[in-house]
Amino acid sequence: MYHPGRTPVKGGRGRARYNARNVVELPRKVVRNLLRLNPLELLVVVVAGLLYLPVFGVARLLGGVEPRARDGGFWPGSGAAATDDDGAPRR
Amino acid sequence: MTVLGITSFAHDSAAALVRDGRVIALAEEERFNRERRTGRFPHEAIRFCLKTAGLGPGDLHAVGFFLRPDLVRGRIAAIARDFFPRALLDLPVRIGEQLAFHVGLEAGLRRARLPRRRLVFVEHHLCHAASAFYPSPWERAAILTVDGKGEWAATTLGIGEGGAARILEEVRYPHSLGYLYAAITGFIGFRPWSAEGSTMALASFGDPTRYRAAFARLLRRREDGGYAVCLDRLDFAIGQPRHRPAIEALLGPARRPDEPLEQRHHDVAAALQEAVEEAVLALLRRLHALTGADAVCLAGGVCLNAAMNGRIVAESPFASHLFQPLASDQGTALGAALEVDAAAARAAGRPVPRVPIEGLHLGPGHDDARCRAAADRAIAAGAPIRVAPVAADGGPGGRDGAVARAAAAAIAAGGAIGWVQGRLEAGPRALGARSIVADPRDRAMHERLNVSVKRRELFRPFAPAVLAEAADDWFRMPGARTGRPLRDMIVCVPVRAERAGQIPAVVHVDGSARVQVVDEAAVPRYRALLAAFGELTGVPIVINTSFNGRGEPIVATPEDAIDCFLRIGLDALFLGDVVVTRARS
Repeated sequence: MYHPGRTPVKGGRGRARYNARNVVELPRKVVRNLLRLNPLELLVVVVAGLLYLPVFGVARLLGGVEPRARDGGFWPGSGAAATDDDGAPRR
Repeated sequence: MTVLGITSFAHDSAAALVRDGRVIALAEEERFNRERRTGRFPHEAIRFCLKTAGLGPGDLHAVGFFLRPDLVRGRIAAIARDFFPRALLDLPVRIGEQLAFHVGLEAGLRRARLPRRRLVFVEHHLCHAASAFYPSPWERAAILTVDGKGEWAATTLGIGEGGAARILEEVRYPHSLGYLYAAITGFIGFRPWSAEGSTMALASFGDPTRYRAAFARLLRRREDGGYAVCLDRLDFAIGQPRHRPAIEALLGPARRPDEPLEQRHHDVAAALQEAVEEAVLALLRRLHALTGADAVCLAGGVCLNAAMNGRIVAESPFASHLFQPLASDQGTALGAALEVDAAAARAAGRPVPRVPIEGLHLGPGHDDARCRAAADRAIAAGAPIRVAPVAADGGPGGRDGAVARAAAAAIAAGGAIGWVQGRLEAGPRALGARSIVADPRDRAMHERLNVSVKRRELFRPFAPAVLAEAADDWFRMPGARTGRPLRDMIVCVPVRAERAGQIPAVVHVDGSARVQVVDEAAVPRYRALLAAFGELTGVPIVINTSFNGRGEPIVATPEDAIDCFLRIGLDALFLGDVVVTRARS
């Protein structure tokens, strides 16, 4: 008997059919699992999802993420003084 | 110009008030709210600073904050990208922290009635740099700051000249010597960000050669003087500093807090200590080549490592060194205020005001009448104590001399005493205002203080306080290699071999001691105490350790002192000009 997602299929048409069904199944599983979360967990996931790309994107636009954190080594110091270029205190 | 500096929402919380480069007041919030290393907004510390200066919040020209949140957001984003996908799980926590930070800051400013429009965010390591450079005696000096992390930088190389501190280069988190020290502290079974002093003490009992090769892999030294941490074995980027299981192939199994300490743990600590010392010396060599300066100022939490500082003084290429005693984040409140003050002077075309800090006794003080009143109130409330005023003995020095002589006699008779005199000192070390003082000639005193007073591990050392004029007789002092007298217990120096046998309770296993030189900048009664003890015994040195119970901040008020006295095994409490002892039941 053929059970998609449970019985290993070694190849051929059966394998392709298995993969195809899995592709369809995956989003359903994700949604089903999300619906099982309690409200707090759901909130965390939604906040993370909503903020991940904007935070990353905005910080990148502001020029804040050039260095690769894995590299180590010296970087030019930002060394920003407490005033702007015109001498006014930085807010 | 009057500037308030604030440190908050970190592992320290403090406020400092600076007027035209002069430090008027500085205090840590933990001394008021009694939460050790509190991160809460420093309401009480701010209130104290303003009261000391006789000002209201509206009188401040600016408020410096010790961190730039915009740079923090950039770091969070970079970590989320570079450590994807694991960092994705951590991101909601970091974003939540940022939201809490902004909400907390706004609420704190509102409650303290500090003007939001006068708030200036100053880069964290620039605060460290400013706190070390502006009060230094030099027109031009190199600056090295090393800590866990600021916004992004974990180490910076900088220069102070022309009335400005500038950062030239930095090594960025997660490549952090502070995180490395904290992670290995956790590996040894101590609490990270708290018990690094225990790791440092443990190191002196170990053999660094056993794990030297392992630490060469954990902390890769680069030819240019930089370093990189092995992120396959150490887990820094996500949350707290931790080690990964892969580290056990190099160092053996990690120790749980309830397991006994073995020689292996001593050796790991020794190799860690050596690796960090070598890395900082390499940074100093690069900084020297980069700036050509003769002197260097150092700050940042890693620079609280007194053993490392001793090696720096002896081996660095600089001719003179100044260690900011408020090296951890309490000093960044001072640094933020000094940097904003200096920046405003530069912007106005005025010379930058620079005033050396003579002593760290910048906190609240309580006069003799207030101390007596506190003792009387404690008795009225049923505290099991007796209170006796120190009797005038007709000797030199008047009241101060009489108190000092009575205390010296109590110590010479084998007592361990609490000592509460003058204005509270800032920073992690008690410097003679809120101290426990005892006889360094008695080897058994070391064990007694560790077991029944401080209630901590037996291997933890104690530090000596010595009269300035006698320091050279007892210790090999570095002379001009330090930019100011060693008043702050932040550098270990060798004890003269012929003297070490006379003060066994304060000599480390390697023959060094974390000395406090007591000169005119000290609390007058404390200096008189050392002089009196010297006259009585021929040894002008006492054990000086902080007056607090285990896991508590140093006592601040006379009430705190009486409460702590009743809980720990002291023989007497010299509270202003009265002596408090336990009532016999």
